[in-house]
Amino acid sequence: MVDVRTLAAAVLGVALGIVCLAAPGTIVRIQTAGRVPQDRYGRYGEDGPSGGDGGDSGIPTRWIRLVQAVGVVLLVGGAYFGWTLL
Amino acid sequence: MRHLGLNARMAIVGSILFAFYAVAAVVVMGVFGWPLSLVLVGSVLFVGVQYKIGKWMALRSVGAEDLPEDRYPEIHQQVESLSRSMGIEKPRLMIASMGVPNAFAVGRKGAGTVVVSEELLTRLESREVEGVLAHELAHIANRDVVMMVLGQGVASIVAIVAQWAVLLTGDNDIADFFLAIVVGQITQMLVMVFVFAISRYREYVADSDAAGAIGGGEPLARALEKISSANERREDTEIDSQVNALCIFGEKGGIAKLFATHPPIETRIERLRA
Repeated sequence: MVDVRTLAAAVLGVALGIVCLAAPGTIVRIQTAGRVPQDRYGRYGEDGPSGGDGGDSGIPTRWIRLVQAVGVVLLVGGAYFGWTLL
Repeated sequence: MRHLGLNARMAIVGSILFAFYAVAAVVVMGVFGWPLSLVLVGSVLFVGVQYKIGKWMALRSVGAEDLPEDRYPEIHQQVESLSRSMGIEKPRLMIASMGVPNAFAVGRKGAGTVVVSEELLTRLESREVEGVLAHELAHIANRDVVMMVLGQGVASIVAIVAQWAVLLTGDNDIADFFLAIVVGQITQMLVMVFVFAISRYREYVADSDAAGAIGGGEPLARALEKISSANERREDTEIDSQVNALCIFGEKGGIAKLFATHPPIETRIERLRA
């Protein structure tokens, strides 16, 4: 019998990890909305994170790298829990 | 009735957010045995601290300084006149060097601050700057900043409760801790979808109010056009844009659109000129 919580940890961990790696700016936006003004980064009238590398978006590159690092941890963690189910 | 569309949308999104919050509150009351009064006081404190820290951080992070009235008398006059016509107190005006044309509002009615970048004042003409200022003042008048803080507050509270619910119902093994963190993040994302949806609509309302206050949408439309066209020249190639638009992930299509705080700039310009 597969442990449902471990399976959920594997599937959701990998899914969130992919989002963190592929769209780090979106994750930053979710975390910063309401905490810093949404016009604070990037150009006027645009969403802050317009670029994935943080270079032209005004979002500090280290924030983007941090989210991507978390994405890697989530991917590895999810894969590990998936592996334990095999 | 003023802003009927916004009020209707706020009623729907507000009900959804309240439902999320109510479930979280009931869980906290049931699991931790907190009385309702403590849950409410805790929530208000949580959101209040976020609001205060957010405002302080935003101004500090850009190195904003007061906009000197002797150097920028026209801007002060414009804001004073616009504030009067919008029925709000004149906000504090600040200037910062942000490296790009930008402006943002923080605070609430009666205690608002509008920050403009030096680059914005350099690139735009007087009427266009007035359009931008009117848009920011509309955000303060419509309590958009406060609404965003409230939305994030609810999302954060629900996420924290979801994390604890996973932790407390599990065996406290490593998979449970991992799952709790992931579930918390996903829950926050889910709640923020609704917050961002209303945020995008509030941008249109602020545009419309700004157009009303300055007697037309053309100056703000021109300002947006100038900034975005300069942006396009510098940013992605056409191929990059096409690829981004097709991607579910990436920073310009699919998931990014779902979590966008601003509507597409082209649509805003079209609406301002309609």
